[in-house]
Amino acid sequence: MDKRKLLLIFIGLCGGMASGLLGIGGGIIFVPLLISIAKFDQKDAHATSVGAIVPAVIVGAAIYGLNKFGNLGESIYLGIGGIIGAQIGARLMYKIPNKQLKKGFGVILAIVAIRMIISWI
Amino acid sequence: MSILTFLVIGLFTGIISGMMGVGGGLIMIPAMVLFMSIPQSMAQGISLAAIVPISLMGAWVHFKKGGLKKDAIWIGLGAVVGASITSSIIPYMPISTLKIIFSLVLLYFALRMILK
Repeated sequence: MDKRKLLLIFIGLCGGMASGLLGIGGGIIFVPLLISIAKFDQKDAHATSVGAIVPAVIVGAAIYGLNKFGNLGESIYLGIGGIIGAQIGARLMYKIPNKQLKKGFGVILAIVAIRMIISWI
Repeated sequence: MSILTFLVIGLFTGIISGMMGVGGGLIMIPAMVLFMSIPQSMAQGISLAAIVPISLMGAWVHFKKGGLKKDAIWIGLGAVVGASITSSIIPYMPISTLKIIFSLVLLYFALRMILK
């Protein structure tokens, strides 16, 4: 097996572990690794990342489900809303200046993170 | 009522992730935990299953447009192994620990978005 394939498998392993541990897709790990280590350009990294997320979340959802950490009905409603929202969001992306928005959103995420930590304490 | 709440969270998540390029889970999970009092591990399982149709849809679009490279097979292979390992240890992890790990990861990505 050549070196590049091993590298891709390694990137998959990292993103997959984050996906299972955190309940996320893993794109937030895949995309930067694909760009920095595997020399993908931004667009290809995004597209390829989505393809790799599919098998990761299928396996993750199945294992969570077997351990009774899941609710298929609720996931379906989230999924339906998510698919519709993604269409809107992708179109909005081209209309709204991104930089300020991204900073603003980062602030909201930080507040959410702190609230999550406080709710534990 | 609950159906509507999930649809709205999904819709909001989709819009944000489509716009910001931030994964859906990072938004859906805190929404479920903070607004609906769903335990962290349950919220993570619900999130993963919700990402299945969302990512399938996205992958199909990228496949048709040609951006999805065959390399995804190798990444997916590694991802399946990685996801199997960490998903399997979830039942043995205290919910408070999971929540702290999740919050710190979220905080990290939030700061990265602010500073970049």
